[in-house]
Amino acid sequence: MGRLFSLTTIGLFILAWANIKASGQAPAPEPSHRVLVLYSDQRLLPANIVVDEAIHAVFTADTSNRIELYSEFLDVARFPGEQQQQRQRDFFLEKYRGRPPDLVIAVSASAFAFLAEHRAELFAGVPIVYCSAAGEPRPEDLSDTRIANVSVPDTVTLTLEMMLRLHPDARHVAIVSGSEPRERQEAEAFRKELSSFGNRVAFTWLTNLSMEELRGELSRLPDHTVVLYLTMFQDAAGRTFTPRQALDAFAPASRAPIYGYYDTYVGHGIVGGSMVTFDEIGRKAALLGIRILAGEEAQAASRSESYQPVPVFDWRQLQRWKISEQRLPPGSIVRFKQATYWEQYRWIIVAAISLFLLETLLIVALFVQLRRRRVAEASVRENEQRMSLAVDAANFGIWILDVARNEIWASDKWRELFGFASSERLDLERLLLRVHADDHEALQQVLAKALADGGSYDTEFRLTLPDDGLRWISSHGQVESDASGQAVRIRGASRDVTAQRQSEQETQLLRREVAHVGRVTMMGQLASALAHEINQPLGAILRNAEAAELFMQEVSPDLDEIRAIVTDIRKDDQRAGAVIDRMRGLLKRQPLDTQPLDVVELVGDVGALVRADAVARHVKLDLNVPGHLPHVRGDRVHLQQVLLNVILNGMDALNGSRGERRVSVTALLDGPHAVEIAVSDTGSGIPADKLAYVFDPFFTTKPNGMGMGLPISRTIIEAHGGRFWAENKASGGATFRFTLPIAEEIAAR
Amino acid sequence: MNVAASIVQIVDDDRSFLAATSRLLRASGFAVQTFSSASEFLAQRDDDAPGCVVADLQMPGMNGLDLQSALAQSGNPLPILFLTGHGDIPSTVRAMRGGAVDFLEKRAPKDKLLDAVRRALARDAREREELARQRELRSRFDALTERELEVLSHVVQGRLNKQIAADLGIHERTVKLHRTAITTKLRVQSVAELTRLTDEAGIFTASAQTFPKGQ
Repeated sequence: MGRLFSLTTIGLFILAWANIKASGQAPAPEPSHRVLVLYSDQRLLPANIVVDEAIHAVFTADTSNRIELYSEFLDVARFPGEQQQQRQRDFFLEKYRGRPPDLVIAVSASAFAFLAEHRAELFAGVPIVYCSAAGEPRPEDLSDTRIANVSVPDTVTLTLEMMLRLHPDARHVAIVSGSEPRERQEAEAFRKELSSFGNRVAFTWLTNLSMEELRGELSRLPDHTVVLYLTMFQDAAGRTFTPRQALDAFAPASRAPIYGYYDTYVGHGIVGGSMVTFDEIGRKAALLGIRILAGEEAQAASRSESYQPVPVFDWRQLQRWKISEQRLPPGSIVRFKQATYWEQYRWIIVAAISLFLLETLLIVALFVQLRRRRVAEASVRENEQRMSLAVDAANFGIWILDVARNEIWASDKWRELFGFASSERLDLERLLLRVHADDHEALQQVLAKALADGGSYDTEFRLTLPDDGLRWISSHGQVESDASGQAVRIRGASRDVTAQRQSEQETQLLRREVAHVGRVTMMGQLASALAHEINQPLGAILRNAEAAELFMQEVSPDLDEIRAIVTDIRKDDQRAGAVIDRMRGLLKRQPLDTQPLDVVELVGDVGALVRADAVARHVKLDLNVPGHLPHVRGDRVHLQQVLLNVILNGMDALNGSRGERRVSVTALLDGPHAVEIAVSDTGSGIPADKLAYVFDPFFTTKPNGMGMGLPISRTIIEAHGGRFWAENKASGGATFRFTLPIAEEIAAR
Repeated sequence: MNVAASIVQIVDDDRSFLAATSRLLRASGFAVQTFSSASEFLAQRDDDAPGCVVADLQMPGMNGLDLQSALAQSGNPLPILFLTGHGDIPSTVRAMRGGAVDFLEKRAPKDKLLDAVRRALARDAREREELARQRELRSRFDALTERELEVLSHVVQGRLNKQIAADLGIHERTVKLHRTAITTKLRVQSVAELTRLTDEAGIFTASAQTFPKGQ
């Protein structure tokens, strides 16, 4: 075969180069390096275009060297044969004699084979970078240290495995390959490698077919088939293609997804594959070239390099074959992914939606506002109706006083309440004329205070009506002030509470009567003790008077004695009078007349009243009231009655008791505002099941009791603002306790 | 007995009434002592003094009835007259059973009070006289010898000298001698008088009531 460069040629080549160097006067600056890129196939093979561009890009970017690049295309598919190679060799020999390359990059196996054959004659000693592509058989001899080759991983097998993973139900794999000799060779090599897959799937070899036949086969593929496409430079009919042209021609006919391992196929009918891109191959070759030109040994430089295949897919094919992107291996590159509308028109969409939302919001806001206004209107109407209903139901009369003009506007109800005709002109003076004389001043004060403070008022007063007698009015109002705090008007509501007041008064009256009954009952119990109490001074008076008579009958009466007698008589009369007064106080019906009371005095008075009874009943009466206690506020007579009742109860509790017979009255401070008075006896206490009822009216444990004493007593204490309760002592006996408020003005002193 | 020497003891916790009552009784001619409580009276009284007690029934501490029982147990049980502001039946009954002279309301008429006081004093006098006579009789009997008392016991049973002599195993003349000694010592004239005196002195009260059969 004539693929050999002669030594002569090389010598000439070197000579020529040396000459040029020597002349040194060339008009154009000498390049620092020359690089020849020798392609196996034609210039327009897509892979070649990519590789060429990548190599150019890298070398151009290397600014440290000025590198001149030459490209040659063997086009072995269309110009096969030994003779043709000889011609090429001769041509290159001739062509590069004056410009011998410093580095040759062989793209694809055929170019490298050509170089290996004719290297000695053509480019002896020049380092070679061999760019192999996937699926190409590895050259036998790469041991020359001047040859750099980074081998491409077996992406064919990787792709096949990936296909089967993506199509787990695939039972057939159809392999498409061309009829060119090296294609046959490659297919044959591949067929051997596939033995490991044999038991998983059945392989169908679509080789040695014309394009038409191939299309026919592909269109009749059975279900569960996937297609792996190697290359097709030539069909069985002898038509040549670039493999991508062939793919374009048969892919549309296939009813099964096609996979391939060259990135130049992506976008031309394959779903995808595991690939090392031609761009990367080109760049790596160029970079290796730069390093070699810089002095590195070719083989050593290539050892540090390797490829990492990447799964690459065509998005449109994934859609066509309904393969979810989620199922793709990690790190997959998906090309031709159609931008969604969102991606394409994102800002327009955002703007449009924003505008739409804004408009919607505006409309909603308008609606809401409209609705609110309607609701508010309805609510105002409703409120007015409710108010008027409430005002009517509660029998409220409404009035408004214009302070500056002293004019009163009033509702019909108010006029009716106050006895004014509906047309009558009203002012404050006329209003006050209606008010009961006793309440006149108080009402004026309340209104004056409200006007001065700008607050609200709450009061009650009586009206004297020309025809209807007395009417109780409860009135509530609010003063409205202007910005400067000046009272502008009073709005008020008034109500007739006569019935309420009357019933309260009746209740009060009834309570007083019941209290009176209680007192009378108690007086019955006390009668004997009181008789003793009164008989004592009366007896003394009588005896003194009788003695005086006798003394005066004497011849010379002892006047000092008689004077002493008269003094004693007066004292005893006062004693008797005091007893009578106490009795009268107890018997009198009178409303609460509260005043500051000394607790010592209060308890002492009652103690004096019952002492005789206690003596008669063999009861020791202990009064233990400290003198420093503050005064309490209360009605003396009522409180005496309560104490009397409780002490007599205590003595009753001792009836039949053979142990200690004692009733104690103690008093102590109960917090800052009250004094607690406790009356304890040494009886057997109140049965636990009756403790809760002792304050119930008509509940009694005494044979002749009325069961009114304690309820009345409690009523009285509560009317004083105190509390009244009973408990049993741990040591036996009962204790009745009640509190009385401290008279504040006394306490404050 | 000498009424003028008797003292009316008034006990009342009501000092005003105490003073008034004291005045009235003094004006009426009684000697009076006052005490404002029963315990004070019991502590200070003269055990032998004649008189009576006018006491308030209701007093703190020791009341009238307590005082009554305390007095009864003493050697000088003065008659007691109760005054009360208002009398209740149970106390009255108890007081009268306890031997109270009277039970008066404090405002009882003056004469009723004075009468009651006089009655009380009279009773005291009478009781004292009785007591004195008893003591005098007792001293006469105390002079009799054992044998004379023995003879006397037979005499008051109506036995004849001969029977007595037989009973006691002594000579009839000896019996006569004893009888003479007895009548002399007891200052009596007749057997009837002897019998009455012996009765009065209560010498043989326990054994004197049985007479021999056939007599």
